[in-house]
Amino acid sequence: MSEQHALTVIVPVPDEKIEGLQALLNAVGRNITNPGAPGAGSVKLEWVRDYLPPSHTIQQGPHFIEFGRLTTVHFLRWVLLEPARDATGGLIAANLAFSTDYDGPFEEHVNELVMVAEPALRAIYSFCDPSPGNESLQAYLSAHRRQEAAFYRGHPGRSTQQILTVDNQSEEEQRLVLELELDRVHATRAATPSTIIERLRQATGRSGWKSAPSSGSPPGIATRTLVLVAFAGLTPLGILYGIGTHLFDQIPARVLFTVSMPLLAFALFAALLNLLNRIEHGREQRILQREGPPQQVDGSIDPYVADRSDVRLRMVTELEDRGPLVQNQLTHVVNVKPGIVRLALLRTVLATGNFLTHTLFVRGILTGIATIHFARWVLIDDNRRLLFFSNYDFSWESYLGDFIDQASDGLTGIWCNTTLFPRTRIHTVSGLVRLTMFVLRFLPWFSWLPAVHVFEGGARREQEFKRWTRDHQVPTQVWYSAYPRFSVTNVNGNTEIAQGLFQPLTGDVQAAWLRRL
Amino acid sequence: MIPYGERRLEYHDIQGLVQHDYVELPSAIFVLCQVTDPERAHAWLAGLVEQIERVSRLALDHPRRTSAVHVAFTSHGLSALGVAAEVLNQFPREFREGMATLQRERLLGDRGESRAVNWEWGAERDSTRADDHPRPDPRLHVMLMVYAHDADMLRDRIETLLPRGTDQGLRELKRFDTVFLAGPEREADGRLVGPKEHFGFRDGIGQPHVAGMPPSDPNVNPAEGNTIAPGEVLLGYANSYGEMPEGPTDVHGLGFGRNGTFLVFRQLRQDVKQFWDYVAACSDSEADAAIKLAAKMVGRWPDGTPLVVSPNHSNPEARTHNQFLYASDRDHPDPYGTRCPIGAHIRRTNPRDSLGDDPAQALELANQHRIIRRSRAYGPPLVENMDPKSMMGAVDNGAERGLHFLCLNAAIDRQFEFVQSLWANNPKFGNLYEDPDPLIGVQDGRTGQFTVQGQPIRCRYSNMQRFVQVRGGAYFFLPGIEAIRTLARNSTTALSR
Repeated sequence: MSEQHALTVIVPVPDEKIEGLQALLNAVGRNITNPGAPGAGSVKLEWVRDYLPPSHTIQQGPHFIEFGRLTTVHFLRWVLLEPARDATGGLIAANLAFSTDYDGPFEEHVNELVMVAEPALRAIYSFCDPSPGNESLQAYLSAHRRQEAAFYRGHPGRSTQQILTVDNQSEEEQRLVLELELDRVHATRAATPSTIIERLRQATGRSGWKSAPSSGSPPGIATRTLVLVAFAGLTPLGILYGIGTHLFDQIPARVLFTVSMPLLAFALFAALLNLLNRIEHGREQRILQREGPPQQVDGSIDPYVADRSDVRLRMVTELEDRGPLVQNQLTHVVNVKPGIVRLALLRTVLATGNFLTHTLFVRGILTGIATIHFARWVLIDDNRRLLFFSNYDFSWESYLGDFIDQASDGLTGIWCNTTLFPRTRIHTVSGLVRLTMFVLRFLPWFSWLPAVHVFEGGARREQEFKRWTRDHQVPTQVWYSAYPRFSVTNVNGNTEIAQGLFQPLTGDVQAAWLRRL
Repeated sequence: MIPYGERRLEYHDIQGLVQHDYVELPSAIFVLCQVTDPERAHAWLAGLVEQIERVSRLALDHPRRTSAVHVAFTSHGLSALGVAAEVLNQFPREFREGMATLQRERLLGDRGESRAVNWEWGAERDSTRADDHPRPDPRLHVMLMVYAHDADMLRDRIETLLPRGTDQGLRELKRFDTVFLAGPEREADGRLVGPKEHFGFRDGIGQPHVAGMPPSDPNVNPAEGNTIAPGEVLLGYANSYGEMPEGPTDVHGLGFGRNGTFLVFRQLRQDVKQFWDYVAACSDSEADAAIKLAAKMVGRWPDGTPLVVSPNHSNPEARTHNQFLYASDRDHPDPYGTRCPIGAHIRRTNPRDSLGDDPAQALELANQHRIIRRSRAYGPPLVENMDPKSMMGAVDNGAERGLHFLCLNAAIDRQFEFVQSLWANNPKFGNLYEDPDPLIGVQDGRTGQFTVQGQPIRCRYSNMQRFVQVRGGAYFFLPGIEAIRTLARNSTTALSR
């Protein structure tokens, strides 16, 4: 059982150093060699030498950075966030964002980063202000660390090492041994499931495995959470009923009072929110119409005339689908709508989502999407902007399609608090009922409930939402994956296959396990 | 319930290709042209537009038809014919940029020999980029498509449409001949079974039914699970999300895009000999076993019988059978691929209800990615009788043969490109590990394999090869009739919004 965490480090970059840093990061990102092999990936010094800062003392050895030596890292990226303007026109300076999805604890991870990549880190951060100078890099990275508002994991509990190698044999290697043995079994036309499984166990010798790999979710936590959530929901209802006893004599009247009050309160809340939405949407449209063609003010991109040119889009899209079409990345930055209400709403939704993904939905399915390895939302620039990082499987189009088809309400709940998001309406009268059904449907006992939407529009405006996402995407200069040929289903499938070697299998379970291979 | 939107389909304004596959018109030719003189080209279009076949109100009235004409344009072509930039910019990015871009090469799996820079037509090297990035051939403007009852009629028709020696303001860049393949099986009335593609399999069976469109093909299953919203094919109508497809139409569906659709054209070379050699080698040169393996790769027997219905032999009764599901089929459920393998070509390109835990939801989601196929084969068959057993022993004379893959959809990114990248090329499709589409997928020699699920265990074929290479391609817009008239009058700005 390994705990996976998110590290986000944001450091300002002075204007005059943006170009130099961009060139260096592009050189690093372009030249990650052998990204197709698990645990490999490095950047040769000769490819980036020309882009290193003049003050930088050239280190020895053939490599600028050897990603493959990082044993705690799942994914890693550097993104240069260019100067921009917030929703009220205030200037936002350039930032360098660094992120990893790592196996805990934090100190070990940072120590390893510094041990493996100190010269590279110092070269990159010498472009920033403040730069690390003589300070220890551990302290520097910790000091600029930003806490994420929500973090999602697609295969919780799997450490990079488990996925790649354990005692010199990874879950994937284990599977390949099994596949070869199955080919042999097929040639001999043996036999019953039991004898086949026995042969497979002998073939692997269960070698490399000291014990069965643990599953991702700690048992029982879902039930406890459920009790907690139910308690949190029932207490206010109890209090309402208590008030009702003072007001009404008949029990039906009290029940009606207890039920109708929350519905009424939610409807009022939703109506106010819709009003706010409408006002803000109107305001955004007016600004959009007033402003002319895309322009840069003081070198920064104005959010209301976002650079939608095909050139910028090409920069983003050409960084996608680079190896075999298995994994991809997305970096997305958008302004939070002005006002304390929006920030409060955003924080509430993100915190709720974060709580649920860490408790109820620990099986590694983001509301039904089994193609996301890791995703995170981080509030940056004094909560003026919302940063979204995602490491996902397959193409952008399929990823966004999954979002829209299977997670539109959650995403609308988050991003309707940011600028230029497709127009959204929350259901007023039926809102609370819908919301309750929406949450309950995630629990196995309530999966029979019909699918309902809490919001109208928003992410469900398919083409508009896709365009909005593209409009706010940022090129990811450096992106590294420790296991680029693995899909989320592969990682989770390998775990189930490995577990089967250690469990007594009978009947249907036996057949199902053999089917996985 | 599928959202139709408010409007009924305007049959008289929709090119008939959306409705018909013209299987009764076995001769066909596609001609690519460059607009050299816009004024003359406008006049030519004005004459052409009245001859274009429309959607017919009455279903199945095609035996009376002896020829049909259609026309489509690239974004360069629309621009050359005077469509204003403000209208062009309303088209989706895929159409504006074209098929031959670095991003689409990767997405569509056009690698190695199939890279756009190696195509025979449709692409050129982008001289503004340092590396060998492709870009669409800017001369490619118009595609004229002519279908006829026989070769003579086709020749007559094309001669009147593009008479030699007269300047129509168009320069002919390329002609694509086609061939109608059939056999060796025979229908009850004696006709040879077809159309087939060069590997020897019946083609064009699984088509979606467009809501509100009179079906022209008796094989198109109009059941709800096979029906798509008009906006999945035509601009100006609500799509499966209840929205107007992206393009130059307004909220009422009016504008230049109205009743138009996007036509994807890819010329695919098929290495037929290599294909049958491969399956024969995998089957110890046992012909029946080889045919069975090939059927497993396709998902249907050569005569069209779906494996889900009949996994062990073809069945003349079920040759065009298309009313089946995978996970929740009532008569032959096949959730684990033991009848039709999970990685089989037809199961990947239309997974029906098989992806995910909930078959009903899976079917709904899969139907958001349907395309209407209008492909035609080209080049001489490897053996005249189209019998796989003869193909296995045949000597290849080196002639090029393949498929002019054509399909129609309203959102190229969500439909054609999605099917090609996420379902066909994706080695992880349906929880598989290293299995791209065995027929058209990108094979990465080191790892590509094909898995045939079985009881109690699967059988695996490795070292899969790429049997299909891309020779050229482009994205076209197939406009509505009124839009072509507007184009001919050079007054598209009047239709812009």
